[in-house]
Amino acid sequence: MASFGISLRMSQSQTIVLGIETSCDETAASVVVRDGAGHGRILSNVVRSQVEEHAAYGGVVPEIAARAHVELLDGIIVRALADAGLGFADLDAVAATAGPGLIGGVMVGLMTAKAIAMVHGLPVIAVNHLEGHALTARLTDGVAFPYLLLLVSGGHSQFLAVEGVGTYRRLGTTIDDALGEAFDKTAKLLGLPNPGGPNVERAALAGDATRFAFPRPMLGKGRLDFSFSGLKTAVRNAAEAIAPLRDVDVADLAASFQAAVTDIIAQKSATALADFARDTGQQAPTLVVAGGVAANKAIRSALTATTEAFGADLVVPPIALCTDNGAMIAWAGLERLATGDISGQGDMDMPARARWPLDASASPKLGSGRLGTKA
Amino acid sequence: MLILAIDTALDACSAALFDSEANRVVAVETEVIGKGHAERLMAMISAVMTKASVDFNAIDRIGVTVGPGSFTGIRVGLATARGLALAAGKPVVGVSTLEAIAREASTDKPFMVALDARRGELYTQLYDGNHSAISDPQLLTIAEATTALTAALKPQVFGSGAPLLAEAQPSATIQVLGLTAYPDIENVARITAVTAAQSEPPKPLYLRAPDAKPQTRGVVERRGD
Repeated sequence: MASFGISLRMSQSQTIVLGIETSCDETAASVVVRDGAGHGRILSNVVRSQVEEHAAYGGVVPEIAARAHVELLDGIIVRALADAGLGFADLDAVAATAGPGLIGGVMVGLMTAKAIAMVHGLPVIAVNHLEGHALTARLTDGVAFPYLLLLVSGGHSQFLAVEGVGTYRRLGTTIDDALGEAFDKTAKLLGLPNPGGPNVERAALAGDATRFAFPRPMLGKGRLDFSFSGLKTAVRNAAEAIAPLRDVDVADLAASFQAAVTDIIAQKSATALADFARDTGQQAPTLVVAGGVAANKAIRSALTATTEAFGADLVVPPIALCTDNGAMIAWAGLERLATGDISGQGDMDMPARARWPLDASASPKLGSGRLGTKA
Repeated sequence: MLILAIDTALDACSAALFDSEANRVVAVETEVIGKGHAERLMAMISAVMTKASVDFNAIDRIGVTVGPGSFTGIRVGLATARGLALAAGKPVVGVSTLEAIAREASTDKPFMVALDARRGELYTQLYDGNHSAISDPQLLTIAEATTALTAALKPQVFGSGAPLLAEAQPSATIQVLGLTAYPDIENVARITAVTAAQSEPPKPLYLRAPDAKPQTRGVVERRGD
């Protein structure tokens, strides 16, 4: 979509939202503007990762995360406004993640948003974190509805049909660990540092992916559901059988693990695309990938091949916008404002929610991962 | 000076507007709710502002309890106060729950404020007869607190943790001054009025470390080459 030729009226109808994200281990704030034609532009995007705070614990500790958020967030907001060259008076609304996520952190972000909104008489928009991920491709690439979303992060692994703002159909999800969590746990057992994803990927570069024949759980069944827990156990068993591990063993284990999950993602994506194309009647559907695992190059190239074979488009937003950030929350708030769908918003009593499935009609899946099956 | 004081650190959820020159509470909302502070606080702040017919420009300073208390409650209050302060461009002052509660003890002799911290522990602080703190706030076991308390000539204790100490030491002549479990918001406002505003926003006073241990288990042995 071309953005030239914007009339004065349109430029006057621009809307500016501050987005706040505190649902896991990133403290983030961003200012995003949406013009009258529906194009978004990120004016600032400040993300403070808490990787170091959690490094010694082999994963995100909810209480440590919540403590960091409350001390960091106001300073992050100051920077986001300064980077955008704006003040509170320039804002049209404040959006904050209200769930799903680690409740202590979510509360910090939501209370801060309510406080700012109260002082300046602005609407506060409670954003579903998953909706932030789901709509990012519309901010970065202007993707039109409907599209297929693969959300793969430390807390989530799911396929969603994104049919409109607020209209999401879950096609499949994990029944145990999230994919990012499987990377983190594999890194941990191999003695690789946090964050697990990039370190497993780095180790895998030098490895032989064919040395260990790891299982591809759920490939034949459950169609679009995932299970990564058994794969993690298989990696552990293989590692313990040959311990103590040499560097080459670690590389081969990492490469074989990554090859297994890449196969799973690629094959399930092909099935999901076929289902989605059938349901929507689209000849060339779009597959959007979101979540931190989208940074993995092996998975990206497998998805490129899958979508090319299907004749589908693949959209992967820039990695800084695939991992948790405030811009996606601001954008989701802007999309909600544009549709006028902020019912129940502006209500200062709205709660933070640890669980909040995007597709309210989807039944919960069994099992729970490190962060819980949140959706 | 017009002060907006808020407290969500313990069982109460409170907001008040206090005029320090007139030495009076202009408007107050307070409710003992135990939990769910996050869903109630904003409506209370809004109610006191409406009742007093003021907006945030009229407020000179914000005061908030920083703990010790419920970790979540502390963060609800602090995130709100820091957010309001940032958005309104007003200074914010942190107030200790122990200090606010100490103001309610009616005695002119030294005493200990002790709040039930659960798990057999207490949030404590020692005060002299003028209600000035003479120790740092501390997390103590019941045994440690009993030792600290009975070292005093005439041991007096005030707060929700007092019965725990009295039960632990039935033979000692521990005098329970009262069982107050949360601050009176008016005292939070009064302390805010006399505390110098810092350039840095206030931080939580948890006294207890997060429940987390560094994890080394589950790592497959590596060859040291």
